[in-house]
Amino acid sequence: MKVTEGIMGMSVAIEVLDECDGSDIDEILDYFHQVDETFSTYKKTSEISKINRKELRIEDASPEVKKILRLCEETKSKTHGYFDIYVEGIIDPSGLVKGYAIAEAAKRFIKKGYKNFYIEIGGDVAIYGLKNGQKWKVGMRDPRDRRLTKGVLHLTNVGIATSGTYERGMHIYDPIRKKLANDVESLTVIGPDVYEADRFATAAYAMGKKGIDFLDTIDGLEGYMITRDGKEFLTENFRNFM
Amino acid sequence: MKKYLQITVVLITVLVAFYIKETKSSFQSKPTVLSIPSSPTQTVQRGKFKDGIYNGSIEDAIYGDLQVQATVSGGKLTDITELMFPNDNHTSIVINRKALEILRQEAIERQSAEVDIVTGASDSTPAFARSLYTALQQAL
Repeated sequence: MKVTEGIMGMSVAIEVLDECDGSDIDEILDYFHQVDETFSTYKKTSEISKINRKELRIEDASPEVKKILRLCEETKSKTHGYFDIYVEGIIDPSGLVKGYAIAEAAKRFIKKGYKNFYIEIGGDVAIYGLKNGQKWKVGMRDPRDRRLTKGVLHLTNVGIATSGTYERGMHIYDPIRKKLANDVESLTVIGPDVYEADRFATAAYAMGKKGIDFLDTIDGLEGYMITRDGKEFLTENFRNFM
Repeated sequence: MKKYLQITVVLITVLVAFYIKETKSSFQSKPTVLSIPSSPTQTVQRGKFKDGIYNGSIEDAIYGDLQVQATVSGGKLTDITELMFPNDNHTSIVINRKALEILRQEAIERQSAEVDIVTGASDSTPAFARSLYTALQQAL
């Protein structure tokens, strides 16, 4: 499984339906690269790797890293400790950074006046405006068979993120029970933006089956869970998107 | 001036961004976007490739070289086969065959007219994507 992880990168997709200057897209891609250079736990030269090797103190890290670590702490307290980037002394903020970066990119697009677009990294998406006058049609990949989708959502002005194991092996740690989370096959969260969706998907996934109840307690979040034994659970208003 | 106005569909996309375990790959340059311009009528034009069979570049997939061949038929990407894939040892073959099968499905699936976006935990390998990108560039 580790080997599989080793050869896996993630794909990035951006679709803009408004008249679009290509340099704006290049800017976003540059930004993603920069985020990767800074936060990758795999790249030896990233600040996060340096912090983990004790070559860099958090106090001496860049403002971006400090900001992300602050957001991680805030998320931890909002999720009863389930969102925890420290596993055995090693920092891994990837459960939040991806969503943060996509949301940030979307904000920059909106600032430039774009209205109808989506930005996706590795299955997590910021979705804005309409396509052909209708909400965007978003297929949820079936974790059991990636060629299939588990229904189609109709989305606009939201973020959507999925935590799951799929082919990468179990990669979310349950900090409370001190083991890898494995009750849940996949958990998809829709939120006001993809940052919220991503960080709460990570935390609620680590909670196991009760993660879906946790999502119900937070305004603006809806979730769809498939458990390891094949059962499906929805938050109260998830169906509104179907 | 960039060619892509009005719409940029990143088809099979690619770049590398997150979580590449080692920086062994030679992919250092800026990521490239495969874009398909559309008409001003908001109709998304898919399937704009020229029919043919196109070989992608040979890419370093960390455990060996990888090269894909893209088949375009009726303007659409209909198949991707590996001309070369990492096969140093048995484990690698099993893993990569599985991974490539998934990636092939994913790449073809993105053209599906049923949905605009597919969400879910998604993986792809940079080497696969880069090779496929160079193949499809020839089809534009």
